[in-house]
Amino acid sequence: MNDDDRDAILTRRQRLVTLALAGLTTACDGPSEPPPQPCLTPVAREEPADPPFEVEPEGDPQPCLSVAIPDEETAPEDE
Amino acid sequence: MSLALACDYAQLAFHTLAHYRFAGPASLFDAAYCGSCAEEASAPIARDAALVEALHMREPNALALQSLPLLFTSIGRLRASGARDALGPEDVDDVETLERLTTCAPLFELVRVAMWLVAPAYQRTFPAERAQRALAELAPLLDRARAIHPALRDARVELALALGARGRAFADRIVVGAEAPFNAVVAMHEASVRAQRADYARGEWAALIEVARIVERSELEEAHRSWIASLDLEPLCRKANELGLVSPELASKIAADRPARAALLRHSGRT
Repeated sequence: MNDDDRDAILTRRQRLVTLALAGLTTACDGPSEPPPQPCLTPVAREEPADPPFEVEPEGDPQPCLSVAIPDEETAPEDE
Repeated sequence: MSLALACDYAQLAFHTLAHYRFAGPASLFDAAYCGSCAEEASAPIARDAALVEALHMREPNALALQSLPLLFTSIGRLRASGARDALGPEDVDDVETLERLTTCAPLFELVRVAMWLVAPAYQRTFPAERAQRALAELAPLLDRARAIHPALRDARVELALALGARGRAFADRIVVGAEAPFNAVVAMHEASVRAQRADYARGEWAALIEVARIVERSELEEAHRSWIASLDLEPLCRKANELGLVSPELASKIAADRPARAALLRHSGRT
């Protein structure tokens, strides 16, 4: 690994984090925003299993079924 | 038809995505997997995970991130372009994927940084022997699955350790996790989804029914029954009912009665 590359990437990371945080804060505080939503806390989605796009002819990748996780750090449950 | 380990870059991409708690089926989060990873192979991802998750929640094109495993064909290629602020077509191995990822650029760029930073530790700690064992375990199961499922017969299938009991269907390949025998069933499901060429809910629903019917009285029937019992199908059942694909009564039964799901889905497909 090149140290210059690493330094450049760490600098870029800091810039991206700052911009992202600023964007999230602005989005939460801005007066022109649509109805306020909590930031940094997952919101309940009305239709979590229905992503807002359709499969294109070339078969774009898309998320598949959710695996239920009944307990922390356990494999899928036995039936 | 082929079966192989996913390339080191794709393994890293799925490893990275397994650390984020995204909402709904976009999530590949796996607490058990993350807990099994070396600290050095997780920390650079975990450090910004909350921010990535927040961006994902607000980003209209967040689902483009699902293409991440296709961008490069090796970790060397990822690292070679890591210092660039923005990737160009000459930097990547799949230009269409880059175009797709660019639509969610702030999110993608933060994830790309995390991948670059964690890559050396990930390579050092990658359990190559375990991956080979998982591949050897999947091979005979996949042969059985291919024999009964035409859509899977000629498909390129790859194994990515971080996918666990999940799978992903791409245009040119199906990627499944290491959790056998579920992964063979997941490969069947992904092949069916890909063949449907329908919107998400219709495609998933049709695939569930198709695979439930195909595995009936086959060597994979029990594996399928266990796999399908492990899924959170409530949102999909609700949506399928809204679309008129299944009655409200049957949708509720399928969502709630996990051991009976396979039989209920077969019934659903015949009404």
